[in-house]
Amino acid sequence: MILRDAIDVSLDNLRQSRLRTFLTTLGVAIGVGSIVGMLAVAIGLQDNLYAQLLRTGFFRRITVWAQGAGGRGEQQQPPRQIDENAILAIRQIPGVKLITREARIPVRLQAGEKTVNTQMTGVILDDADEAIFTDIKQGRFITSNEAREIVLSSQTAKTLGFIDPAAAVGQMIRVRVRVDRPGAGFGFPVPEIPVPEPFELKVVGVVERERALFGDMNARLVYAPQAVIEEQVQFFQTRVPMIMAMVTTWAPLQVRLNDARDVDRVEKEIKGLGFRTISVSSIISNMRRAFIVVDMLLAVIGSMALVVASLGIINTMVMAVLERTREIGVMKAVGAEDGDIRRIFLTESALIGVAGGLAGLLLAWLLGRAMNFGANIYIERQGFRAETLFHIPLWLVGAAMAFALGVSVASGLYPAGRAARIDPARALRHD
Amino acid sequence: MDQLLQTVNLQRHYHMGNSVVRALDGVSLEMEEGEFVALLGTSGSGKSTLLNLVGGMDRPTEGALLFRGRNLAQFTSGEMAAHRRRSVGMVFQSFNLIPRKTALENVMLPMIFAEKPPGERRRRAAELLERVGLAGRAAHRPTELSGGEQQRVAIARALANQPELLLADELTGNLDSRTAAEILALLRGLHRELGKSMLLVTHDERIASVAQRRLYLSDGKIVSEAAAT
Repeated sequence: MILRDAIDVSLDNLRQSRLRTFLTTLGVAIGVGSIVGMLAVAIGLQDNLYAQLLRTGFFRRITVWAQGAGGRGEQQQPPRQIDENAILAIRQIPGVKLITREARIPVRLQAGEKTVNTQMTGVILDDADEAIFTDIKQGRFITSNEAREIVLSSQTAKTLGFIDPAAAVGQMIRVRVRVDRPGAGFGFPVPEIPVPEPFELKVVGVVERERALFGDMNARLVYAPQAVIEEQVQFFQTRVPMIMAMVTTWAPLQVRLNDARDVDRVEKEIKGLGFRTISVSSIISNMRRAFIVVDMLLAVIGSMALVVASLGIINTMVMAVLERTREIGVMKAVGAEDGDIRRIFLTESALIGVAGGLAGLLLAWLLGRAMNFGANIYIERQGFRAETLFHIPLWLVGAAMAFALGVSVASGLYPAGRAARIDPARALRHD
Repeated sequence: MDQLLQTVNLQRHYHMGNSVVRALDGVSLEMEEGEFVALLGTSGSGKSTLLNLVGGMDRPTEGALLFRGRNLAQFTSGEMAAHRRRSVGMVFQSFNLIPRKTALENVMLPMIFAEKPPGERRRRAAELLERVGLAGRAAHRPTELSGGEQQRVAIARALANQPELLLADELTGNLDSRTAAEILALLRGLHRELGKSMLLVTHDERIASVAQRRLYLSDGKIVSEAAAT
């Protein structure tokens, strides 16, 4: 018997008892719908949370130090310096988008009569970085890597005479690099050091605290685009490279990735090169692990309905076998093999599974749309942006269909086996 | 002529509670290709049991049942199904048509299991219905057909896969005498035209008279034999 005939015969059989077929299929649909619905809500919420976290850019970043620099590194290999070669090696790792290394130089700031000595830190803006500076007190953060702008800490602003930090925003600040000549003032003949011309930057914002994540906690730090600082570094490098090497502090390397999911792998590779690293990837993997547990739990709860539906299929099919005993006898008498009969009944339960699976997906989708709609009305009323809370990924569609098909074929095994074993002589015995 | 069927000491026992019923108790017979044989006997004589064994619907308890020299007693279940599908065609007293299928679809059924292409099934089923005189009734369901018509459909179905042997079990048992005569005439015609071997089970001497040879069964044994008069 060819498959097409098996399907024809099965469809014909299913049409014979429409109501029963419908109810059984509905059972499967509710089962599939409950699994898909549960998982879709969970996945939607998790995706949302995940995306919001990823948007901050934290998760796409690895901070790299020289081995042993922090003291506690295990030193089984000689400590490797962060130099041009190291940067080149890290750049080779797939997934790496950008490597930045912020510099810090000592500066003297002047606003009117008041001056302050502090460290100016270079900032390299990444599309997602602004979120790090959540504590901008006044104004805004630096807008571009080329801007002639400066962000003060509130402490610096106060020292420069702006009691109200808001007054600092929009003011021009004069900046001069500080170079202390070693030995000067003790009567030694110290050569004059060429100093770059002071320049002006516009205050665009005031932060409450220093960005605390990976830097030190100097409350007096101010920020300018890295390009501004590199201009100064270059001035010295062409003239007195020694001096600049002394006064410039290089921050740890910041390795930015295209995709947060690569963090684990890239971090491992950088460690393999002999550097110390820090990332927030462990947070992500913990989060993912928790999500998987929650998803599985929900899937198990959702599966209960499908278990009940499976009992429905078994019941329906056993009934069908009993009702069609004589017909099975006829089919065997005209040459059907046991396998043909089994195939017919398995095809019937498979068809119920496929129809139930499709209907269940539709059910879940409709339910999800309704939930999205309802939830978003509430969310928008609370003043938040509407979100997709319900998401059915393609793999879930595939998995749900495979599951529905698997469960219904498994449910059909016993009835189909019973049908296949029917003795034709007994089935056709007339009374 | 070639030998089609041979049984040697064929036995079929049933267990009824603690006692054993010997439905067939040592039947030995032979049948030539193209022969028309009637099995006669009263109810319970074992004639239907014998027919079921020849038809591959049941297995003997003991003895040999040779069809074209191959012993059915040793067939696997798949070989038994192939025997039912290709070698024999069965006609029953209660027709055993599938009620919700049309006459044409009922005749097509054996060809589905023989995996004949759909076009050929349809064509051959239509031809067979025409041969049994039901050309205009192909689209009717069994409930819309008279008893005689239903039995004609059943005969057409039995012939679908061109079996070597047609088996009929009390095929006129549910028909009035006029219709029965028509069905018998049809069988005789098929036998004459197609040269098909036929084994007919009946309790009715007049019906058996269409056969070339008559075998009388009683208590599971062949008690006598008569050639056509």
